[in-house]
Amino acid sequence: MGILEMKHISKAFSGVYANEDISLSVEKGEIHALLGENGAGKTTLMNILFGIYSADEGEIFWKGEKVHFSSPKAAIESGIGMVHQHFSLVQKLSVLDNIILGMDTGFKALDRKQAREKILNLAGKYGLKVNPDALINHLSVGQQQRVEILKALYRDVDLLILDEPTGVLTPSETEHFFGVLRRLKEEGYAIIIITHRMSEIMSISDRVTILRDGKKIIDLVTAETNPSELSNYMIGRQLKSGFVMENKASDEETLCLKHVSIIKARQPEFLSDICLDIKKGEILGIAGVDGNGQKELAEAIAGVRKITEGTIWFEGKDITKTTVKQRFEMGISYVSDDRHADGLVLDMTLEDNVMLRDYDRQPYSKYSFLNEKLIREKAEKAIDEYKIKTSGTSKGDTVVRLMSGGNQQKVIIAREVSDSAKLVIASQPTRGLDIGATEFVRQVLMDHRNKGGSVLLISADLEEIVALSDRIAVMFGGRIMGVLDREHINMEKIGLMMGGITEEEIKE
Amino acid sequence: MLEQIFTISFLTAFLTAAVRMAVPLIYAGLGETFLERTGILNIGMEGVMLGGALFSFAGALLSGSLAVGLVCGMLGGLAVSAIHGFLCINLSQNQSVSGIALNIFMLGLTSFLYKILTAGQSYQDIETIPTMAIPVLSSIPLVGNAFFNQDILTYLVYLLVILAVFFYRKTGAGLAFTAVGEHPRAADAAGIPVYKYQWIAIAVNGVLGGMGGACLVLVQLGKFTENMISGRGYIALAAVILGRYTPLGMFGAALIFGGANALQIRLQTLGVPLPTQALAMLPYVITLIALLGSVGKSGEPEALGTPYVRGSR
Repeated sequence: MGILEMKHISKAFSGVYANEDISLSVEKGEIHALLGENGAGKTTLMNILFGIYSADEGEIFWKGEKVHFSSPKAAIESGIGMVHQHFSLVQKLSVLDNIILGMDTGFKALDRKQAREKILNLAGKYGLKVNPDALINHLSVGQQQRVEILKALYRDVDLLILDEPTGVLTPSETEHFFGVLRRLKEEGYAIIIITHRMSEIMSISDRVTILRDGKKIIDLVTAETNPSELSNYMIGRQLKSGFVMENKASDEETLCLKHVSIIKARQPEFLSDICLDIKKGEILGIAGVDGNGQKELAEAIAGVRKITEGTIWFEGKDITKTTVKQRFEMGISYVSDDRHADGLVLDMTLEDNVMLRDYDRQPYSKYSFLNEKLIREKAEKAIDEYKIKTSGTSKGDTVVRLMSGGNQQKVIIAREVSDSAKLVIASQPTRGLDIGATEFVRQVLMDHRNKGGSVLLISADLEEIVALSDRIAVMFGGRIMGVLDREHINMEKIGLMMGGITEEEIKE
Repeated sequence: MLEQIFTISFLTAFLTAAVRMAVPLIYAGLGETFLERTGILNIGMEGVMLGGALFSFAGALLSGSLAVGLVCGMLGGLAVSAIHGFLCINLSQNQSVSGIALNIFMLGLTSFLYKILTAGQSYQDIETIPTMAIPVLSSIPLVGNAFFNQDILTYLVYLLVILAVFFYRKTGAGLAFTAVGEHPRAADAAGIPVYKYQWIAIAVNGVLGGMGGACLVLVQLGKFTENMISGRGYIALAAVILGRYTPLGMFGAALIFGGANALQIRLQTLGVPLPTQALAMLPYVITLIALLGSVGKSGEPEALGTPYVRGSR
């Protein structure tokens, strides 16, 4: 019997099962992976364990006793800690204050000195280096994650739940993070790690439980399985491996950036002397660790962000001074990496969101009046073409907030990727999507290329870049470190450039 | 004119008046700081203070005891804040709408209750809380008289401000209350009961706001008049913002506003050749200028104004 036994857990949200009869068993000193596509019910199951939701049916045994946690507080006090996908850190407080937050809510003065010692001890023991006095908003994502783990350890937990912990980390941070997990495991901690990355499961976990559509499919001992078996259980169908790249890109330039920079006084350079060109019928991939100027580059080309130096040319015209709207009308469309902030108006309907670029244009609008019939047709066409799942019978009237991430992304794609788009800037187009939706989005981009359109594909997912791109440019610190042709892709080289080493330096 | 202003007696009288004007603002501002640090904005502070003023007057008038009056004022403020708490915490309603509605509602309600209370006779007076000078401190030139020759409620508010500073800087509870306003989900995950703490803050907000209103009645005027708060609740809100949501900052800001008000009254009595209406604008003009000056460095709690709904995404 494991330290944790969840038996026949069911939970429904407005009649739809998020978890149906799921059982899970975790041992002391074990790293247990929970694998499944988005929406498979992993997070719901963990939220039930952690006291955020309460299960409709089923029982939880913790250290041999039947328990029901009514709040996260109760779960923590019993020795269960959870690091959420979105960190629960208070930005304005220091690392130390975040770690001790909620432990002592008395009116006496806190003993911060003793807390600091305990934190430094834990940090040293498990390799979680972080400055206790730093404010959270000055820390990198990787460091913030360390704070989250320290926070749990500080509370003397026996079980650590990690929800998609590596999604935000660089490859080297991930390696380091796994080192931490192994040390924790040696100390006898039980760890549940939620993920959908096969390679990570294979390298770190002891056992893996696979969920699909809210049900438990199987649990396996990692050493006795392999990625393709896991993938089959998780998806229940075979994935397409490659894409068909019809004909080579032409020599005709669609977009050309000349010495583009965004430099603000007293701030690090956002973009520095970027020279790039994209050909007709080509996908140019931009690889790099998040936050190295990719978003600024996308926004500079889309016209959202002003550049301070250099020129941008589109189909032979200088568009440096044109507006977002003018650029869209010329054929530059933009799939932003932040669906919720830039891509959609969440509280408007699907129909309205599809119309965001065209609402004031004939034939959808005439004399300032919207042609609702045409708009409806356009929305319904998008729903059919992109297989957008809407709620019940409301179809185009579905409020976008109520749709899943994958379907929200499809709405944006339907709006931005049309025949009139000559250049599609796709920034992290598959982030947070499940495998089915990811595949679909990638196919749309590939089709666009094959029809002679150009795509600027920005992604932190190297696999995606390599699978789709004709050429790959690597960004680091607001600069282009080098550009590689599809034929000359060398993963080691890309990795080095992502780490800040230029092509010239590699040759030496 | 200028030689009239730069005299010890003028400045002493001015500072004393400034502190006196500031005290109700400090009470209300402290209550509001406490509440806003948990993420709830109470624009209804004006209404809370009106409630405190009327009930303290009624309590003191009917019982003949100033202490009973003060307690009634606290309860009156508490009752008003509790309505706000119920709407904003339990029902997750829009905090600005609730606050504005409370202000308008309390304006009518207090006038109505006052009419009933006094049976149409106006000018019912109660005795006021006497001043008591603190030995030694009160004899410091210039500031001594202003700060340390005041009433007990003034001394109490100094103490409360000091306690609040200690509370936020040193105690675990202060940390927890801050976290609730900055990141309620994180606070919840850390085991802090968000709604309970917000309710505690609502209670503190009501009691202190009520005391702010009671101050005006029990210390300064000895009577209730319609709309007697006349914008002080809003100025307290401005003091919180100008003080960047810290007790000490709010204290300083409230003194500035109190000073502005005292100054315009002094200038009126000196016979400055400006219409009294123009002089009366002074505190509000200073409010606006002060807010302009604090643009971009607000320190506003991240979750201020956003109802926390547990388990929502």
